[in-house]
Amino acid sequence: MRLGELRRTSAFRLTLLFSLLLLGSVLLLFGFVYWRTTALLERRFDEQLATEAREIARTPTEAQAMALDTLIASDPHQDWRGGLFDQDGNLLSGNINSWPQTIVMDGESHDIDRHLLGLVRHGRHGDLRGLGLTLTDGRRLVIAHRADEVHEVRETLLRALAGGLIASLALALLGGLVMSSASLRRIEAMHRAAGAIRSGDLSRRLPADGSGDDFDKLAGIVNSMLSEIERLVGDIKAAGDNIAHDLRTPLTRLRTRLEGALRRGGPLEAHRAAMEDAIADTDQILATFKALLRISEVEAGARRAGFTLVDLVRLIQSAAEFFEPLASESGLTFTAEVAPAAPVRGDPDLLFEAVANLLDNAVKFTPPGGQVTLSLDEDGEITVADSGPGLPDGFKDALLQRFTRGDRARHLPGNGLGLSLVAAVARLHGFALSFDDGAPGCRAVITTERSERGADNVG
Amino acid sequence: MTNILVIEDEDRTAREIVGALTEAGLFARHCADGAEGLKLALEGDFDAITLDRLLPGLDGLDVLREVRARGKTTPVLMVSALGEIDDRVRGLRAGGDDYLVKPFALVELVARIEALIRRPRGEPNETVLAVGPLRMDLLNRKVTRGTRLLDVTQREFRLLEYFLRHAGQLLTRSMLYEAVWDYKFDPGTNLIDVHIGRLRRKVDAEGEEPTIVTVRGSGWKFDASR
Repeated sequence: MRLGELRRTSAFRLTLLFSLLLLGSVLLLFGFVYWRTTALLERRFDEQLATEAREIARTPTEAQAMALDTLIASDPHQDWRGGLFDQDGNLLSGNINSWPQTIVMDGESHDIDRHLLGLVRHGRHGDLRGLGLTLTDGRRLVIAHRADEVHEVRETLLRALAGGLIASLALALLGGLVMSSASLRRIEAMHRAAGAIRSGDLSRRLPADGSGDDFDKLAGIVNSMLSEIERLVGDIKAAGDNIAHDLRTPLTRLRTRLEGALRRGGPLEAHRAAMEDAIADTDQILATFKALLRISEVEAGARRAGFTLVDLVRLIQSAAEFFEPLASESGLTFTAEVAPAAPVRGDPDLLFEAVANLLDNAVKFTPPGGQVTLSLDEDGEITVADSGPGLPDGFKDALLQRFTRGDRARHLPGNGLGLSLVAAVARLHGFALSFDDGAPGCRAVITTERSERGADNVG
Repeated sequence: MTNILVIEDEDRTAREIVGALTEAGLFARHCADGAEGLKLALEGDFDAITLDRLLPGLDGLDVLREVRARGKTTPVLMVSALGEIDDRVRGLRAGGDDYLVKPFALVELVARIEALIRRPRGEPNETVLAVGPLRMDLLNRKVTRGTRLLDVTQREFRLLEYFLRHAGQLLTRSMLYEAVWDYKFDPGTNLIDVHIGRLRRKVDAEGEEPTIVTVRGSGWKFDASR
């Protein structure tokens, strides 16, 4: 894992952002503490200076020199500097050797250069704070104290601030690194899995660690998508195999026929029958293609845009009228029972085609003398029932797959796509399609009402 | 001589279409390009046009729209590999008179062209349609052959009316289905045959001269010439 990669992870970028925010807030907090603390410290310091100066000033004139000396002597560290000067600037008492020319005589505390008080170097900082005061008799008092203490407190505070900042930044960055490398590791695991899937292993899934976090959710979504894709690819492959099989038969027959005609030779007229058969074979192949294209057109769902209100009563009556001659021609009794059902939203042409396909199957598979019934009940349930051989066990699931044809259908015309189309149409409409054992025969039911109720629930 | 303009970019298909039309006694002029086809359609005197939907240069739909926009009413049969309902609707809405999806049988194309160039018999608001021995009372929905009243269903009445209006023309299964049933789908061969067979038994009783005759492998024709 390269650092460059790590830097690009969203976790790392978030960490950086939060580190900056942390830095800002720590700086603000410490800045405030620093500002308030030093201000307080300086005020206290200045107050002490002023108190001492007032004390000396209040002392009777003759005792002032002694009071100053006592103040200076009271401090073993020699932190106090003081001087009592006469009006001409001659030192009367104290440890400041010469009159500091530039001192401001306003009784207020100021920073004072140590050189002014004749000090070369004292303590680490050596800066002083002091004040000058003109006494009532014209003499002048200067007192000052080393300001090291204030500086030291300031420095301690700054050190603490810097230390705290570095520590918390380091902690934040470290956390960020750990977090982003963890997410990077998971992404790399997903990347590896995705690579395997891309190279054809559709059974692979993205790894999830079961923690239910964002990555797990994402992996879950992608995995369910992959399952669907795997199913579809499987379907397509199966359909492809079936297409190959179902088209190979008529194509081979066509080729044999043409070859035979060519071999036999003779006048053109002698080939008329062979050519007509060849055209019939080609028509069957084309019909298969057409049916396949139609199913994919329906499955693509684009026709949902053209849904209108469909009058089921009229549709079922038309279908009955359309199939009745074929049924009676095949020696079957055809009955239609049409109840006044409410219209449904859908594509009338496709619904008619679906019903026609079911009827076509029923008529095809029912032996002469049998019965075919088409009915529409008041709930909009369309039933096509026949007295044919019914469905063999285990055939029901296979029924809706493309090209599935029962053994009994081998000798009958058809491409095995009819029910796939019915299923596709039902799916497009959100209708349920089911096949029951009609005892005897088969019952195919399209429940249209369900979609109506479903639509009501939705909105 | 009847002139047909064939606008079709695919050479082989075009040759076959032209061949089939010529064989049917029509004169066909081929053009492989949309823009040139439009020019010909506007300037030439054609009885019908077959127009491919997808053309290089100018799209078939645009050609059709332009032809109609210039006030030309020449019947147009759209021919297309696109079979979705939307395309059919779009083709007809743009001013097409009929729509045929590839691949198609050449007889189908010829039959549809014939249907387009010959005006259907009888005025639309006519109340009686009489062809040969048949007489249809469109107002009272009654049909008689000579003195015999035929017992036909509503649907059969519509079928027969279509036959009479296109008497003498080859009518294919899909043409008959589209003319009479209101739902669009491909009913396969059997179903229409059964309906026609039934109608034929009612119209042509035993001993009577057959009027609805089978054209082998293609469809039927109402033939009242005998």
